[in-house]
Amino acid sequence: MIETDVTVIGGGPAGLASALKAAEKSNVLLLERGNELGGILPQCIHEGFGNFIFNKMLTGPEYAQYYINEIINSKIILKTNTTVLSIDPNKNIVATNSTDGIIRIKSKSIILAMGCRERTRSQILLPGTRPAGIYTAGTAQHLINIDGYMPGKNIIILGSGNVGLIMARRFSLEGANVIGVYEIMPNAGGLTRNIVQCLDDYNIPLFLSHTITNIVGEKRVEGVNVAKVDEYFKPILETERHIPCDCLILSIGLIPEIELCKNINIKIDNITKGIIVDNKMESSFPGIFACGNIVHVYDLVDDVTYSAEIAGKNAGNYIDFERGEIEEIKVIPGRNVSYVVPQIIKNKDCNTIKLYLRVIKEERNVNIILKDGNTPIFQKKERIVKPPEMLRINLSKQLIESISNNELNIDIRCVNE
Amino acid sequence: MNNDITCIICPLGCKIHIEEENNDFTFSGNICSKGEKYSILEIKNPIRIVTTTVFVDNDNHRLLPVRSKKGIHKDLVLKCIVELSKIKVKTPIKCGDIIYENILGTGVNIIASRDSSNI
Ligand code: SF4
Repeated sequence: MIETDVTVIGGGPAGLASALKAAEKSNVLLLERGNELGGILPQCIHEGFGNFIFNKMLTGPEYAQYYINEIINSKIILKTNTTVLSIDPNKNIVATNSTDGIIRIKSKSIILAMGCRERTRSQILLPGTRPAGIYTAGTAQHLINIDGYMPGKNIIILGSGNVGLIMARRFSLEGANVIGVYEIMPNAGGLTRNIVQCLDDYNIPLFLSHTITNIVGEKRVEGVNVAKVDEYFKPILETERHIPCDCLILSIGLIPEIELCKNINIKIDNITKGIIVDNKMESSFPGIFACGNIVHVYDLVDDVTYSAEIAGKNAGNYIDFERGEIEEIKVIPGRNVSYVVPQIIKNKDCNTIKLYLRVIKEERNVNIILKDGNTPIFQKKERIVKPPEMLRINLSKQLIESISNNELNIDIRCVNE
Repeated sequence: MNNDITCIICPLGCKIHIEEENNDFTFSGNICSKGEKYSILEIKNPIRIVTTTVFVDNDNHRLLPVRSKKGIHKDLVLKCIVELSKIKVKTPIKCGDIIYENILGTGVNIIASRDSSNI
């Protein structure tokens, strides 16, 4: 039995930053399933990380290296190659690895930092045969950037999320022929910067409102059928055409990896599919905190680190006691708001709070309006809002203290409405 | 010369058309002056940070991620990567160490993106 103050599950950017912050005041145990730290960062060899925290554009491995060095120089107890099997309602953790066997851990607080997983073919019911040559974008990224293998020569990419776009460029630079990126939505899923620097720079075409209707091939992918879709995302049969290729890359979204929470009563958000948190990054289960992509999928690792530091600080300070009734303000997504994180504000005596929100559809010249119940209390203008670009709102201490209802409603409305 | 540029400075992503006459630029499509600055740079000297991997000996992995210390003209990116695919580096290496000096005569160094043999 190991006894500790804080156990952090997951050694990616969220786990690293939260462990370091918690270790300023407490004993910390960090558990990582893989054989190295950094989560997805070591394979994200492109630049674009750390613009806010380090004030420069770093690559993924560089960003990770900073935190890995800090962890090595700290007194945090680190166990890699260690899989957590369960968490019970008394916050007892059971984990395993090949040297310790079964490890039982008693810890005062827990930080969930397991990140997210890529969606696969079966989650979008992609029809066709099941040949070799179909990979998720992240798996292809690992093969090329870590293992040094090329997954194919003639590549089709389904989905225009950021990982898919980054991989389109990477495949081109490694000598493959990227035939095109096909996106079912009428708008690209990734950031404009990536459309320009990953597709336009390499003359890779992007087909919007298109999907794959069939995968063809026995042993190896021989091609796919693609078709335009109508406004209800149904393929238009007359537009279907066959495109030969030997590799299909799926970049069709990420979902928080919450399997470990199944045995404990932790509330999950229907939209983000991640853990519901309050402004201290505490879940609905007292003493269990969450940060990073297990809460919702962030655009920037810098924001993951910020959320992790909040979780780490509060998990480090956590004291178990009967809390009685705590006043709670629910943050509720309204018109053209898909979700808001944190979903709950507790303890109005906190400092500023950063709200993250994503919109449902693209709109121009809008106001983001915050309402205390029904009374508008804050308004921020945006020239454009789009689903791939997360919006941030900083709530001042004063504003938070002024809220008198137990609901904070957020709407996005066109300026002239 | 490609005179149509998508500005990446803010989420609006304006499509800017730029014309040059004797170092005088005229723009259409952009909303703000940041876009003008960006499109001039994209016309005159479009640079990108080059990122790739090189082979490495005696490390936990076969590959070491590297990047250019500064931006390199985008037409040279592929050449740089081909050049870097020919080398093999030896450990120990620290994040930031120079892996390849003055690549293709650009004056830009290629540096390591991580320490060798990370845990
Ligand atoms: S031109 Fe100005 S408004 Fe348009 S995308 Fe660039 S920075 Fe944004």
